[in-house]
Amino acid sequence: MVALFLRLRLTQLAHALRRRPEQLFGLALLLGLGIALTGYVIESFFDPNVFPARDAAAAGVIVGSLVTLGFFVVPVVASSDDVADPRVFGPLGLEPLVVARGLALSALLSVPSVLLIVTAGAYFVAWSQHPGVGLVAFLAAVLIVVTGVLGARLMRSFAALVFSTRRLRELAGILGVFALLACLPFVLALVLGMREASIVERLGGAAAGLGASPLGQAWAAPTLAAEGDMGGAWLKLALAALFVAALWLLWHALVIVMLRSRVSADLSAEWGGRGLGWFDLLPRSEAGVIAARSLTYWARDGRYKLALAVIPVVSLIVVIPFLVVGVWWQNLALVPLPVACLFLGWLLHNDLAYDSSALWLHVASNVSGWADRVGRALPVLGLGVIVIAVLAPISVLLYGDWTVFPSMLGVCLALLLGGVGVSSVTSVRMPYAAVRPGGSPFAQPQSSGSAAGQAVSFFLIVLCALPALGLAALELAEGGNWGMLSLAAGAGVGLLVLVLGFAIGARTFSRQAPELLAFTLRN
Amino acid sequence: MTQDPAAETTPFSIEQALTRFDQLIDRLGTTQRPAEATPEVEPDESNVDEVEAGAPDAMDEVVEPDVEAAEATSAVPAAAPKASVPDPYADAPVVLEVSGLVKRFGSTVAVDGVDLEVRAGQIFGIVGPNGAGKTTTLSIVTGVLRPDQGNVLVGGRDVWVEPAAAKRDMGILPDRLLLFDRLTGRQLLYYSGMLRGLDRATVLSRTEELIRAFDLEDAQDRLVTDYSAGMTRKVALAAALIHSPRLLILDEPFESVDAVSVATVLGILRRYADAGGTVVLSSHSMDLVESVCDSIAVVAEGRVLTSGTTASVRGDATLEERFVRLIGELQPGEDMEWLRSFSV
Repeated sequence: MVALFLRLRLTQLAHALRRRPEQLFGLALLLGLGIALTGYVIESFFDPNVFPARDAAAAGVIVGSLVTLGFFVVPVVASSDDVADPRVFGPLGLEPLVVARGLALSALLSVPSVLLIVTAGAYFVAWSQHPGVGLVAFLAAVLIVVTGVLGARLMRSFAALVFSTRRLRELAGILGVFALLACLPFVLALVLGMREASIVERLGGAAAGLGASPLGQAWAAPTLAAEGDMGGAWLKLALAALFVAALWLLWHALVIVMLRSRVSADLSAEWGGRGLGWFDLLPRSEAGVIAARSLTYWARDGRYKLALAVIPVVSLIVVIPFLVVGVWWQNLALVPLPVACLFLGWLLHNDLAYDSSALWLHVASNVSGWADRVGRALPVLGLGVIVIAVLAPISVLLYGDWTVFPSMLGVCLALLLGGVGVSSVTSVRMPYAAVRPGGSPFAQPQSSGSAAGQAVSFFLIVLCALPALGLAALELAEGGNWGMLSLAAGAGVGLLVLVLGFAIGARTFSRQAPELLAFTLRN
Repeated sequence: MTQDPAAETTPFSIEQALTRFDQLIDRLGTTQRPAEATPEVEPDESNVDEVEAGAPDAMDEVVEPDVEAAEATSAVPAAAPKASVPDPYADAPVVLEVSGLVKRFGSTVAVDGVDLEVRAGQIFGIVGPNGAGKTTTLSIVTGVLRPDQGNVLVGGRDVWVEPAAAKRDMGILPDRLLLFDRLTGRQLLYYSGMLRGLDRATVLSRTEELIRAFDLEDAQDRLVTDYSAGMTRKVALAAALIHSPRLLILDEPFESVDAVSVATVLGILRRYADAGGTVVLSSHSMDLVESVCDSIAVVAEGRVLTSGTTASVRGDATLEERFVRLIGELQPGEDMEWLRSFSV
């Protein structure tokens, strides 16, 4: 029976390779990344710089615990469809124990598991060089592999059970993005503080803490043995084995539960709320309902949600290279908000294509171009104004000099208003193929023609902000009245481009609506 | 979870839906129905009966295609010439006039000079084999696809010259186009109504009534993307009706709709037509078109082969036989001798 499970797993792996070349390339890239990461981890075990046993122990335990943690966390976040979901075996009437054992063993046959085995093997080799540690190191390596593989298997099925509804999974995804953002400062602090002397002591403390936790016990056992504390080492091994036993019991219980619960037929059905949602809140005009529809889609459509989630990440990430080359962080406090405004305005530049052929409703209802353009722009403008109102003072506060406030506002307004104006034109003039509604936001559209619209709108938006940016630069350099001028230029150019963009976009939409629909149909 | 509780309560829900829809039609009729059609719209059932009773016998046969009627038709002398079948709609105003429509996609000619004339108060069927140009024609008529040549007049106004006025008179159910399906059913209806320029109170009350008439109560707060194919069709049809159009253009309205819902929807359409509305629908189901439509146009290879009242088009045969004969003349079947000499 176990052989059957293993063969099933091998077949799955073989089928995973039956993809289009570009997907295979992506897989190869991921695989390369995994191997490189494994290489780094293994190298850290043999690093001669940290060969004094105490430092090597700290490094090993910390890196190892992170690896084990990854095996518990990544399966929850990366929620692809689990072909080996225990629920699939429900109709076969197998014993839960058989399914649990088969699936757990077949989980060994995966790329991450193999990399983990290699890593654990290297750990064993590194520590068995110390006299008398061989057996302990070997058992530790085995426990490391079993903990990681079983933990990943458990967490994956657990996530599938808990995040059974679409909404929960999406919520988890968004929370994950925020968690990542929250981690960023810690990572930065760690990277920046690496060269300080006290860091070694702090790392030693962290290693001790991790070594006492279930994540690090197996990793810590050989280090204790190398120091001569054999009793402590065997205790760690026993505790690690106990943890594995607990994992196994949990996994077995989960399989029993999942074998009984059938995959609900209504898994995807989602309750949309009783009222009309945004439609109740926004103006009762054509533009108002179109704005309400856009907002509703922002909340329900993965494609929009991804775009919105990416904006804060990108605006913070652009800062990192400057930090690395040593720009003082307070100067960089002014950067993220304008970048966010730029991307907010840019968000709209292919809005029509996102509707796909549902656009017929606007064409058949003879929606005026003006209402269509304004309606789609309203949510972005609303969100943008809120973001600027909240974050502009905070950014300037972090920078520490209030004289830059007007030019900050000028640049942000130019980017937001100008961006919406430019996008209102490019989305009807230069639409390009977009992912269809309901498709994965990471998917590539079937026919991806030229996406010139992307580049052109980006370039034009930056162009709109140039006057305000130039004046803001002057104010940073010389002070004086340049800031107020920057505000006036930003707001003026932004508004002008916004109104012009609406007018041109509306005219084009009214004239070309059937052609736009035909375009969405071709994709 | 059963998605369609209507299955158990079939007889009631149809009856109820029809009664509700009667009321709805009355209300729609009194708000926007043009003057010439108003006399036909009366709130009580008896009046509708009267209209039917007053119509010529031929119409009865068309309207109620039960076994008896079918026998009566076949009892008509075999050589019944087309002209002898009276057209009960000959005096009704022309609601839709299509002339010389041409549409090419690259080198293929999808629509090759289509002429149609649809008069008010009837259900008009467009039938044809796959790829005949039905969907293309209907897309052009609804102002969604630009023709290369030809005119479309809805209520005397050209769809491509005065789109605002012409489109207001039309409710459309396209085939194979998406809906804004991340909205709930109720939101979609509300959105459709508001885009048509109705005021909020009207849209809200009509949304409620349409949801009841189409038996969508259980699904109204779920996303349309989670609906079954038939339910999606129903909610799209409801969205097409919300602004009380004078002309309904339905492309394959019964695709993947279950029999119970087809009956409900047909009842709704029949009452709508009796109240003076006009329905143009395309289908490749001969039986359905024959039993439902008052007039028919047979389309193939982008041209209208024949059109007229169902009885006149059908002649002495069933519509399906007539259709196959018409198409057969156009596309003589290949011999495919090899298909009969089986390989061993």
